[in-house]
Amino acid sequence: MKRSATRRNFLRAGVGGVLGGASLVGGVSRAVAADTVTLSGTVVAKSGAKVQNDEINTHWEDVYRNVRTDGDGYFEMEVPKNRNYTLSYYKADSRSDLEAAKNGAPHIYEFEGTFVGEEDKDIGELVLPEADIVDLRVLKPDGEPLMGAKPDYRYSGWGANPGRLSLNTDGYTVIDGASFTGLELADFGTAEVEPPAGDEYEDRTYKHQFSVDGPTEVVATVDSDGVEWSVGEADETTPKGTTTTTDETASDATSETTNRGTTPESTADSPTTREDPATATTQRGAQRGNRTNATRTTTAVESERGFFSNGPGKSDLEMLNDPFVLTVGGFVLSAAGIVHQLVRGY
Amino acid sequence: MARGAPALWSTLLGLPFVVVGGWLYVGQTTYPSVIGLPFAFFGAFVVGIGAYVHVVSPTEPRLSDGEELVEKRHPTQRVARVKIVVGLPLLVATIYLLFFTTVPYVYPTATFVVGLYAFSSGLYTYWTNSLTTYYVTTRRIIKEYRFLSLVRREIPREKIRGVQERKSAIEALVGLGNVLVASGGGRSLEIRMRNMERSESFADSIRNLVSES
Repeated sequence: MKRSATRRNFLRAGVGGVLGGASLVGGVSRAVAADTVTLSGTVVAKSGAKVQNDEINTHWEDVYRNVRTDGDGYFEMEVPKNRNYTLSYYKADSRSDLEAAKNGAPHIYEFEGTFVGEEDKDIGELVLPEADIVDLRVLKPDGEPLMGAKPDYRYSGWGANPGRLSLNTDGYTVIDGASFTGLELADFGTAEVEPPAGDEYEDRTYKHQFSVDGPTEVVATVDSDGVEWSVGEADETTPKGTTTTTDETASDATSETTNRGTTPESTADSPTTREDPATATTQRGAQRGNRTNATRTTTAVESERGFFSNGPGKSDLEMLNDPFVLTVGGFVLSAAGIVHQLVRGY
Repeated sequence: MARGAPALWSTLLGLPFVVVGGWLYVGQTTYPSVIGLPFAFFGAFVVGIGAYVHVVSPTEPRLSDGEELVEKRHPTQRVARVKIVVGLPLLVATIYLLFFTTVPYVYPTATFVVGLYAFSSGLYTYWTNSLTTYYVTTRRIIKEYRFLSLVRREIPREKIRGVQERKSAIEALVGLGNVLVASGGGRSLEIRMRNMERSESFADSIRNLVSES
């Protein structure tokens, strides 16, 4: 008797606890939902390319969100208040986040971060710089293409869709369905190569950072011991192998045009391919949710250097994460100090 | 013309910066080429100042009738050499950590700050020592320094009130010393001679000069 009363009280407490917890979670969720504002802006390309139906990603901490631009390059998204946001851009079409189009706008780009406070925020015009083609070629030591290797590109941690990239007969990277080789990037980028699976090559992803000052060709020569990188100016007059061209290559920029003020294809909290440098093992492709079939497992560590530690976290000393600032600052101070002392006298 | 060969040594010290800057500008593609410019400009600065120091130096003081030059000294370059030797490996380490590794920037920053301070301080010491000359004549003590303008300080023999020698423990170990000549007229009429080799004999020659008066 006494034992059953105890059990009954325990069950009542359990049910009460579950209901109370559910109410609390519901209340918090509503409060969070009400705690959002609208972040909007308009993306334009310096090259004059039409920024339509392209993808805008943002993330804060471990949450990612993406929307598409309308016919005027306008986008808007609901985001929590009082946070810093990083916005990235993907040249996309209605079916993919990697459009097989060459128009002078970068395929991947990251804009400067922005803080969103208590009010809706229109960050105005975001300008995409002029981009150049970056060819990524993967070869064996004998100069033959390393078929089966998986190439990829990144810009400031934001990755291309590896499921849309492959090597052609000359070892050049091609977007599926594109009539040209490579991707368009601006300023800099990171090339990645994962050798074919098997015992011959190491099971890892090789990475190499490069700057983009014009048409660029990055060549990865892979053997069983590792990879040798070379970066040079791309020769756009040389034939670059056979590329697969299908009807799907045509840019469908005119399809699915959306009206200004709407946020088409908003996929809240949808993850993107921005790698978490702190994660030693990353399942790329799976991060893309249902928009890619790639499920490769790599052992890559993204080299996003920080001031006190490497990682994605933003630091107050972020301005020092630039070797140019460091060296200019140091040398200018040093030279000025020497001149001051020399002039002042001994 | 300054003593030694400051143009040659400054060129040898500045050229590596120019070479590294040139390589960063045209020889690598990992970083924006503009990062080579501060290295190249600093190297050019070192070469340029060295050349200037080489051609600019104080002229010999004009001696009056009956006045004779007893001793002429320069500060030794040993301190400058030590500073430069300490600074250079740290700057090489900075290049390695910055461009050939992906360690957090705090490490190359630390080696850069310490290395550049030691290297710059060594260069400054080298150049100022090259431009500084101490004279003892039968009538006065003279210290001359010229970079852009000439600074010549002198104490007449009859106004010398004291000669002080100073050596820190490290200076004593490496055989250097400082000699302070005071006139009794306040700090404005003091001459401090730093980083001198065989400072005892130099101080003795001044004391002899005073005792003869």
